[in-house]
Amino acid sequence: MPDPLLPQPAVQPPSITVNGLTLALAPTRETVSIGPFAKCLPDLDAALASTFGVTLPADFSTASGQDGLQLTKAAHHQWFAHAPAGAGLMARLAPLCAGLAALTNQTDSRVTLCLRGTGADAVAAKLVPVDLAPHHFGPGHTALTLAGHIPVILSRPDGTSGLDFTVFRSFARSLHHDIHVAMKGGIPHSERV
Amino acid sequence: MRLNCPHCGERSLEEFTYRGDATVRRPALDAPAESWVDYVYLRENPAGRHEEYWYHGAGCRAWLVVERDTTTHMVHGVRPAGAASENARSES
Repeated sequence: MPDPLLPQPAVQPPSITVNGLTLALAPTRETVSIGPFAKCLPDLDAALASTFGVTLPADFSTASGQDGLQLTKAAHHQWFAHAPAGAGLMARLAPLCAGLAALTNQTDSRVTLCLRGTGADAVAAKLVPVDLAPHHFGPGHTALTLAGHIPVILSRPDGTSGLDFTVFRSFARSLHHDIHVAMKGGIPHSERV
Repeated sequence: MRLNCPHCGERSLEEFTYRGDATVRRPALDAPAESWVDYVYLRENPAGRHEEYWYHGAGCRAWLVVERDTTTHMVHGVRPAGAASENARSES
């Protein structure tokens, strides 16, 4: 008889602290991918604006709306809608986007690792090839790139210092290991202020 | 080598995959066999500017057309592939 599937955290332990930096697994959010049909983007934006007060960001960034909704550009002509667990996101978006966009429930397909603390940028810079300077990658910005060899959605959240790595759940342990090693290596002298 | 993705900005080569010659066009369905052999198997090997498909797999996952000089390796331009492809369709 096969073993029953048991819910397990994507990484263990869910939070580690090294050299004053913290790497923690973010609480699971409801996630729905939005793929607008051809020529439907203006109507879709109008529908989202009327209900949530936010439109799909045109550049790689995250926009926040009502009821905890966040819209993140996740690929060319594709966005992720995030909402806190229990928000019933798919049920709310489905009637709104009918005929305008393809919706796919992506909850639990990806997890987010949050790197926080002084020097988080210097540690992240060991892994990601994009410029993390605040004037170039400020709050609300996201970038689709590689962390080491792992594709990630890198974002800098509003209102807190640090970086979020959103990654396919099956890659989370590898990414967690890579970031942990980078944290243990410390902050290079050239990056210390 | 760095490519200036029209969606993501300048990124390094490891994010991209070369996907072939962007100048070939599919023949008409009733085209002679020779045209199909050319389309499937034969490629030019130009010395100079050439258009190539590149796939931004570790970024925005868009197909791009890169105009690159094969003798100097200089990249003259990068644009989304939709308008250049034989399967062009409009978006938005």
